[in-house]
Amino acid sequence: MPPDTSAIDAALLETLRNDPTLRGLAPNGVFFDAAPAGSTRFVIVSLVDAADIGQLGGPAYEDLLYAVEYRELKQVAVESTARAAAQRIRELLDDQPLTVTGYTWMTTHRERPERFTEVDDLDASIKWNRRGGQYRVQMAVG
Amino acid sequence: MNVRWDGLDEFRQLLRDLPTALRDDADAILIEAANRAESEIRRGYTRGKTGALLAGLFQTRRSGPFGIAIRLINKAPHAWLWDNGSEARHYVTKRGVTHATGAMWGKRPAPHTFDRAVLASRRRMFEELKAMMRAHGLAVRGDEDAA
Repeated sequence: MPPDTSAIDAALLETLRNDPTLRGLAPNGVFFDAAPAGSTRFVIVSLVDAADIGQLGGPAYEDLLYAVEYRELKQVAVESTARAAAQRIRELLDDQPLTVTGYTWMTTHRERPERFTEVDDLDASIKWNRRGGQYRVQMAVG
Repeated sequence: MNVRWDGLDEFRQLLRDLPTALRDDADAILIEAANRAESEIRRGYTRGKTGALLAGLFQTRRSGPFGIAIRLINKAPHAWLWDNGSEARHYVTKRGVTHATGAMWGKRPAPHTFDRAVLASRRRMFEELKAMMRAHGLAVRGDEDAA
């Protein structure tokens, strides 16, 4: 039976969700693709690119690129934790092994940082801080 | 002892022509890869009110003696947001009515339209470049599939 690629997604999310420091910085949680309505400080993980790499006629490893981004609604009364959250994400992922059934971890590393302020085009006072990066995960099959 | 090597002049000429032949073949592969990525991105975009996202996508090409360099760019100001998703957009009218929508598309997950198309096309381009080099009689090293 082939290994389950979604289990890699799940392991990545669990790594981020299980960290109390990141929970403090992003109290709404860690989500794949989208956060629940009303969330104002959270982490979004999304899949940017994926490829199955074969060798000698069989599957060798899976190559996955994730965007991992802390997002917060910018509020005057609340101090931004974007910098600390992005750094914590990096500490949790960069060169840290992932344990996934059916795979052997090869690498997890950041390929590029991301930082952006999203401004509502109708109400410029509504701003979202977005900070994180793209992380490459490679898992050998077996 | 005498050694006679037939075709040595032709072999020397072949070696002299090789860089040009490789460059020309590689140029074609690169152009095809860029066009492929651009088409894929255009298919992934939705035409909005202004069409700025589609209009902002373009290529720049720079040719030199050793080959061609192509950059695929989207200069639309919301291109990054399209690719990486956006958060909820909401505003309150002067009468105090809250609208949970925005002028663009509101809250949406990241489709990574640009990155996905470019990375997939680049992967295919690498394979095509390796195949092209092998077709010219070169060995591609460091690639396990070449064995």
